[in-house]
Order: sequence, then structure tokens, then C-alpha cells
Amino acid sequence: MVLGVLIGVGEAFFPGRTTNVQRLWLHLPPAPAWPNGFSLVMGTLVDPLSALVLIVVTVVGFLVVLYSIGYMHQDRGLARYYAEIQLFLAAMSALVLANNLLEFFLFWELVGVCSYFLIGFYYERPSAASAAKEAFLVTRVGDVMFLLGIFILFDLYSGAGAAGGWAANGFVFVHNGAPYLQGLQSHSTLATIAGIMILGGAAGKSAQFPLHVWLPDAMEGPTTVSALIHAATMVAAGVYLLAITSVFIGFTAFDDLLIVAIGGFTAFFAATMAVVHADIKRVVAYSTISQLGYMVLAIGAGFTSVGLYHLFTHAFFKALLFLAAGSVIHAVGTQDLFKMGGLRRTMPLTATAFAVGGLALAGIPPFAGFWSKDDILASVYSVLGAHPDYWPFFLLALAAVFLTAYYIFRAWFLAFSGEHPRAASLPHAHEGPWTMQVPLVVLSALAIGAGLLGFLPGIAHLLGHGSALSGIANIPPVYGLPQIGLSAVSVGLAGAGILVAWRMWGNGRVFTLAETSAAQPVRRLLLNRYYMKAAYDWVGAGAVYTVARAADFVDVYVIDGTVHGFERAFAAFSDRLRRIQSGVVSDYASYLVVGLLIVFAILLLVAPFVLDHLGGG
Amino acid sequence: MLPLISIVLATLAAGTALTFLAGARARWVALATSIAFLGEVALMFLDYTGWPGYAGTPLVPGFAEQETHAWIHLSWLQVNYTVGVDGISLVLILLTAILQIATVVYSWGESKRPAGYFGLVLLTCFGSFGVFVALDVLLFFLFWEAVLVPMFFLIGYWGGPRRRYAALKFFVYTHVASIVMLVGLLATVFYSGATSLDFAAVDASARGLPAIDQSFLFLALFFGFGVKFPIVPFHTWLPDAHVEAPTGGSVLLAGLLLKLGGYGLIRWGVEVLPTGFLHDRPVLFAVAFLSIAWGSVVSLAQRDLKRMIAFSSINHMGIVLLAIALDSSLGLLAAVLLMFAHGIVSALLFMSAGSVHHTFGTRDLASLGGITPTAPVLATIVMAGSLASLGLPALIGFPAEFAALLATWQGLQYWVLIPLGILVVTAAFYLWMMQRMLFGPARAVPPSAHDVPWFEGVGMGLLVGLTVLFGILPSLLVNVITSSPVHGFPGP
Repeated sequence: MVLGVLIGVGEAFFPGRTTNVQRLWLHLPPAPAWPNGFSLVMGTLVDPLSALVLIVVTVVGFLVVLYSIGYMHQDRGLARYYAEIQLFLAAMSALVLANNLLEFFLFWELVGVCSYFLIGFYYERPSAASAAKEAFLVTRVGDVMFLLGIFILFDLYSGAGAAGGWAANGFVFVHNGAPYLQGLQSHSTLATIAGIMILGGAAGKSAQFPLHVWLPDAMEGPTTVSALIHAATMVAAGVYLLAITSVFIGFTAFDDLLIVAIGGFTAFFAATMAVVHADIKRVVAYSTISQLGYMVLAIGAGFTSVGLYHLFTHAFFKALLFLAAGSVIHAVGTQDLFKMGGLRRTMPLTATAFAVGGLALAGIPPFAGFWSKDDILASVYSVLGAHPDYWPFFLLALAAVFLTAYYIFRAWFLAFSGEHPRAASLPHAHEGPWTMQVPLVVLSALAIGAGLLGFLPGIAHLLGHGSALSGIANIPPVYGLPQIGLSAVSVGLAGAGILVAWRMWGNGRVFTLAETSAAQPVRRLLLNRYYMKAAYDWVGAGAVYTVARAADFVDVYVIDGTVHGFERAFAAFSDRLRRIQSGVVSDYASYLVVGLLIVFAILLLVAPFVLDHLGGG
Repeated sequence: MLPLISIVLATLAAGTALTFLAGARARWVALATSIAFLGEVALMFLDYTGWPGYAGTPLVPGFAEQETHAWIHLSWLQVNYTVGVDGISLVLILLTAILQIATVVYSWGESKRPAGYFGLVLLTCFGSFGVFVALDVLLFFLFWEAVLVPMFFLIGYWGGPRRRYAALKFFVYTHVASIVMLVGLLATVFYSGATSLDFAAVDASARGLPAIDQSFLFLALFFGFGVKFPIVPFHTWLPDAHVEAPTGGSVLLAGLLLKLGGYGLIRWGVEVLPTGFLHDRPVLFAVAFLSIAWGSVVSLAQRDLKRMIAFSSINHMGIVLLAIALDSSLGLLAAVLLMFAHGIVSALLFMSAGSVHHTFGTRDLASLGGITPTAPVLATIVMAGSLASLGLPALIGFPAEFAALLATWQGLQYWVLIPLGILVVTAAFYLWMMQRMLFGPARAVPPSAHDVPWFEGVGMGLLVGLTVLFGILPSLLVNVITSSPVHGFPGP
């Protein structure tokens, strides 16, 4: 872990250095089928892109493990917990450092299975077991698409479809210091399909619409897991995949529009659902989906480094929000916001930390989220002239700023403001042990400062140059009037969101929607998550299972039934045969004659033919 | 040079005979035989490639370890005892040795006539080994049939409540297929005018047959080998046989017997009748896609754990068939790798299903639940097997499935969407099984329930270890397979 931080920091201060170390994993010597021979390698590629994410993974990973010592101390199965967390961190680091798509996919699946294990950590709870399965299956849909994308890319660049047949190195991003897969745009149709497939994989992992359903349910895992895997790191892997794809391979124009559409829509869509939920972890989980949407939007619009900038700041403030929420849950033993209240008096540190995280999430300057989110909006705005079809998604993203500020402060007011908890049964809350407090303090500092880090030479280098290999688009360097105006709009929207939240929920107030209100159906729609989970359940557990049952019926009664039919027919036939055995000698004699005639006939007709062929007669 | 194959055959024959006679000490004899077998297979590997490392260059032309002795001599036909191996058969022989030792260790506690049980297990492996090395039609057929008999008795005597029905169904079904296969092989020999039943002679003369003859002959062989795969719709013997078979029987049935079909199709079908194979490819594709989809979807509806695994075997062997039918080097490599992977993983799954049955008295997924706290080792093993079977990277199934699907994309383009989509269904039924059986509150856990006994744990642990080893280093197998002198592989 320390090594990872060192690599990351080292990269920050040695501009442009790219280190690529690889070792042969599987080698096939030249053959008719692959005249150039064929090799698969396992390698590590340290470039600015991977260094940045590696810093996030290792720093947040370290803090979460430290926090776990306090948070998890009462749980059983701790050996399993720490083993799985370590496996996750190893796989995640390897994913970030992978130097080829196959290796990337390998560790991509491994972090997925770690997520499965950890969501199902409390496996005796049926809801946790179900959530783990759901997460695996939904991301599996994305993974299958990703696989197809890999196949297409492989075929275009290394396989039989490539010029010169099979290339010596399959899947590699970088070969002899140069990007290996480039110029995908020239194969436009296949390349577009490959891009869509990769987007599918990224959407599964990063919980983008329509594959977002698993992430809120993944909150069944311990809060530490939610902070590390389902907020800061693993879910960002999809964004990272889009980033490396855009750097090393490039998307076609249609793919870019699709990515923008999904990102912008998801940012808004997830935010709407966060507005009504009462579970503190779920609110934060929806905010994760929404923020990942912003990153996807930025990458689609061509600003990879801006998207990664947001990934960087988001990891810190989102981990902070989750750990603060965990601190609350640890203290009061419930996740229901409506039972909490007044906790700022007993848990001042946690209240402050959650507020810092909230301000960063809402995008209030000078907190981290402001710089990166504002960058995204400004960047997308700057290309609206060239791409007018990005407009609706830009507006959705802007609207989501208001919702974000509203829902996160709704949560803060519900939990921390007021005089005392709404539910009388809550235990007397107190702060956790130092192992839980230190990470909160460190992450608070990062949530305040990480945005400004973007202006430091080292980090700015990581972001600005992205990958030294391809010189991806830079952060818009000049803040002209439109950008400042846009910042003012977005900060204004965020402030308005906080104000509305205060009016409705602040100081112990509880806003109740009248039963007859016209907004009730909307509220139900949001609470039921647009019925998408229900629809997926209907397809998965309903339709597919019904088909399976029907197929099983056909298998047993039709296919095997036919077999039994033959069996019965044979039985009946042999029964007839038995009846010929009448015991009468003359009958047997006549059978004998008939039989002999048949044998002779066969010999006369068939034998010459056979013997001809045998060549011996 | 030592006649290694004959030595192995002698070892297995002697070991089997001694095991039958050894009474209560049968398991020790069986274990000693298995260890000797494994050692000899290791020698064969050393002989073949040096050590299966990354070099992959010093290879033997044609079949290695070849031995030929005149056996039956007629004026118009020469029957030899001809044996030999190439990379494909060597990998499957390794599988045989691994499964034999794992089964013997796993079944260490067998108390019902142990001498007969272990003897039949060894006899099955003996027959399978023979199939993988035989290079003569008659010899091949004898070994092929020699596998059926011990399996018939394993199911029929040591099996579950409906064992007689299942054993008979297994025997009749596969025997009918064997007859068709034999007729196909003999017709190939006689139509092509080969004067020897040796593989090389048959191969050389059959290639000259006209396309239409080849295509009919290939269909006959395909049916004969296909029933063993098994292919839909000729698969219904398999679930019944698996459900009723004792654990060791299921392990060998899924791990080895199904591979005989795949191996036979490659060696005696695709290689001997290449033109017929190319003609009949549409049929193979159709059957393969049907098996892939049918096996997976029907698995989803199963309540009996063993029946579910049996249908998943149909799905996996469907992918093997698809990979063979692609007629590409990558496809063939994938097919062999997948057979090996499925051999290990399905054996592991059937062992764990057997342990679930011993421990909890039922395999009914609808009534079992939450067994993890009672049997954490067993639960871990079930999980490892399931994840390997659904193709998790770093486990053995992944490289094989990846290669198969990549080859499918290269050969058939968007048809690959069928097996890819089915991957989701496969994941679904394994995950749902784990959710119902391993997780949640404990249900149907008898107070006497305990974790697996040591010998079952060791047997399954061995397979889990290999699943990881070959998952991380598939090159250990790939370099051996691709050194086979067939189908555009690097060869000698």
C-alpha cells in the first residue's frame, strides 16, 4: 500500500515518465494459424493515469482498513473480512496497473467477486445474500458486453482480421513505448459496436443507467465496504475503463454521444431517487451513482482528465460521507434517518465530517467537489457549440446540482440538527474510538483540500497530461467570463438546494407530504426506484424462470418421454416375439425356413457388394 | 526407450485386479496404483515436452510413445495393438490420473463392498486411459466399451433409490450409440479400402473418400460420440445417471466419460473425415447452440443439486462441441482446455454435492439453507467450484471459455451472442444455488451435521488447488496441447 502511494507520488513529480514492465504469460510459437507466434503478457504500466487512481485506491484503502479496526470489532468472521478486503485491494491495484485489456478484465472480474463476497458478508441475512447475487448478476450483464468488446478489438488489432494476421502481442495497450491500439475510428461500424460494448461493461461496474440497480442494494454490506468498494474505488473502475479506452483506443462520435447521454441522464436520474429515501446509506449510494454519471459525462464529452479529476476528489469526500454515516450507524444502531436527530450535540466530530463531505458533494467552494464538478460543467459547456446535441444532458447535469445539495443536506438536517433523536429508543450516541476518528479527520482535510491539489504542480501534471502517451485534452486553462458565470449558476443552485432542505427539514422540522397531494404518485415512483428493480425481478425471477420451468417440463415429459416411448414400443415388440414361441415344432420349422431364406437373400444381395469393397473375396 | 504406455496399462490392469482381491485393504491398493499412475503420467509429460514450461519447442513428431505390435492378421485386414499419445490425449490422460487419485482419496470412507467399489473406479480409469491412447479401431472400441461396464455396476449397485433404472438407461443408451459409432468406424474403414485398422492407415485412406460419403459417415460418428457428450436431445440419460450414481461414479462420469465423446470426435471424427466434418458443420453448430442454451436454462429450474450440475455439464460440453465445430486452431485449443477444465470443475462440484448429501441428508435446494456456519469448509468448496464453473478469471474455466468465445467470434461473428448471453444464465443458477443453500438462516440442518471428513476435504482440496494453479498458469496445458501435430498447431 505504501508502495502504491510512493509510485503514485513519484509519478507526480517525474513528469512524463512511463514505466512498463511486463512478463510473458503465455506464448505460442509461430504456426500456420498464427504465423507471427502469439503471446499474452502480464505487465504493469505506470503512467500518470494509473498513478492518480492508484493514489486514491491506496490512500482510501489504508484509511478504511484503519477505520474497520474500530468499526468491525464486534463482528464475527473478521479473518474473512480482512482477507477479502486485502484481496480486493490487491486486485484493484493490479487492475489500475494492468498494461493490457485481458489482464484488465481478469482483475476487473476479481474485484467484482470481492465485491460479491463483501456485500454478502452478513450472509445469514437473506437480504444481504440476495443483494450480493443481484450485484454479481447485473454487473455480469455488463461484463459479457465488455467481453464482446474485447473480442472485437482483439480481432481488429491482433486477430485474424488485422493486417498481417495474428499479431505477436494480443490486447496490449502499449508496445515498445507507443500506444498499440490506435486509429479505431477507421473501422467505424465495428468500432462503434466495440465502444458500446465497453460502455456496457463500464455501466455495469459504475452503476450507470440502466445497470445501476445493484448499487443501492449493495449497501447490505458493512459500511466500510460501501465506503471503499461501492463509493471510492471499485465503482470508479468503470469510469477508469472509459478513460483508458478513450486514451488508448478512442471512441467514435456516436459512442461519445451515447456516453454523454448515459452520464448526464444518470447524474440526474439517480439524484431524483436520493431525494425521498430514508436510509442514510442509500441516500449516499444514490449520490455515488449520480456523481459517477458526472464523470462519465465528462469523458464522453472528451475531457478525460476532468472526469478523472472528479474521480479523484469524489473518492475522498464520498469515502468521508460513508465513514461518517458508518460512525452514526455504529453509534445509534439504525440507518433510518427519521429515527435520528440532534446528533450534532453528542457527535460533533461526525457531524462536522458529514457536513464537510456534504459541502464538497454539493459543490460549494472551496471544498473539493466544487473544483472538479465545476470543471466538468465548464468543459461540457465549452463544447456545446460544436455538439448541440449535448445540450439536454448538460441541463440535466446542471439540474442535478440542485438536487444533490438538497438531498445531502436533507440527510444532514434529519440526522444532526434538532434537539434530540425522534425515536426515543435510540441508545445514547457517542463518537467511535480513535481508529474511527482519525480517518474522518484525514478525509475531511482531503475533502476540503483535494480540489486545490489539482492546482499543485504534481497533481496538475497527472491530470493535465493524463497520459504522456497521447496528450489527452487538458482542463480548460482559462477561466473566462462564461465559466465564471456558470460557476455562479451552479453554486447558486447548490445554495438554493441547501436552503430548501433547511426550510423543510432543518432544526428538527419534518416535512410531510399531504396524502392527497398531487406529488404523492411521484413520491411513490421514486421510492420504488421507478419500478426498475421490480421490472428486472420480473424478467429474471419471473419470465426467465418460467421459461426454465417450461423447458424442464419439456425435458422430462417430451424428450425423455419419447425415449420411454421407444422403450415401451420395444417392450411390446419383444412381447409379441415371445408369443411366437408356441412350442409347436412345425411352427419352428417354418420360422427356420423363412429365416434361412432371408439370410440367403442378404448374402446374395449384399455380400458381393461388401466383398468388392473389402477387396479380399 | 521404455514402452511407457504399455507399462501404464499393465500398472492399471494389475492394480485393478489386486484391488478387487484386496478386501478391506482395497483402498490402500487403489491409492498406491493411483500414485504410480500419476508418476508414470508425469514421466510421459517429461518425455513429451521436456518440462511443460514456456519454451514449447522440443517436440516429438507425430504421436509420441508410439508402440505397434501385430495382433490379428488376416489376408485383407491387419489389426494391431497400436498406441500413442499427442498433446491432446496427454492432457486428457493427466485429467484421468488426477481424477482417479482424487476419487480414491475422496471415497476413503466407502464401506459398502470397498474392494468392488475401488476396483470398478480403477477399471473405469483404465478404460478411459485406453481410449485416450488407442490408435487402432478395434482397440479403441474395446476400451470404449470397457468403460461402460464398470460404470454400469457403480451406478447399479452403489447408487441411489432408482439406481437400477438409471444404470440400465445409461447402459442401453450409450451402448446403442457405441454400436452406431462402431458401424460408422468400420464403414469408414471398409469404404475407404484401408487394409489396416491403425489410425494412421484409416486416416490416410479415409481422407480420399468423396464428400457425400464422408458426410454420412461423419454423421454416424457424430451421433455415436455425441450421445456421450451428451448433445441435446440425446441427453436424458445423463441427469438420471448422475442423480442415482454414487459420488465417485458421478465424478468419473462427468469428469472422464463425457470427455471420451469429445476426444473421440476430435481424433476419429474431425481428423479422419475432415471433408465430412466441414459438410456437417451446420448440424454441429445447431446442436451445440441448442445444448448450450438448453443445458443452462434447464439448470435454472432444478431443485436437486446433482441434477443442476448435470445440466450445467450439458451446457459446458455444448461449448466444447461449438469450439470443435469452429474448425480453427484456437477453437480446438479451447475445446481441449475446456474439457480439462470441466473435468476438474465438474468433479469438484459433484464431490461437494455428495458431501452435502452425506452431511445434510438431502440435496434438495428448496429445503436446504444456511449451511455455511455448520460446514464452512464445504461451503467454501461449493463456492470455489461454482465460481470456477461460471468462468471466474484466475480459475481454470476462464482461459478455456475465453478462448472458446473468442474463437467463436472469429469464426461466427454475432452468433457468439448466444453463448455470451447464456453466460449470464449460467452465473444466475450458480449464484441462486449458493444463495439458497449456503446463505440465509439455517434450514434443514440436522443436529448431527458436521463439516466434511478429512479425506473428502483432501480430495476436493486437491481439485481446488489445481483449479487455481491451471487458472493462473494455463500455459502449462496450452503448450502441451498446441504441440499436437494437428490442425495448424505449431506441431513438431
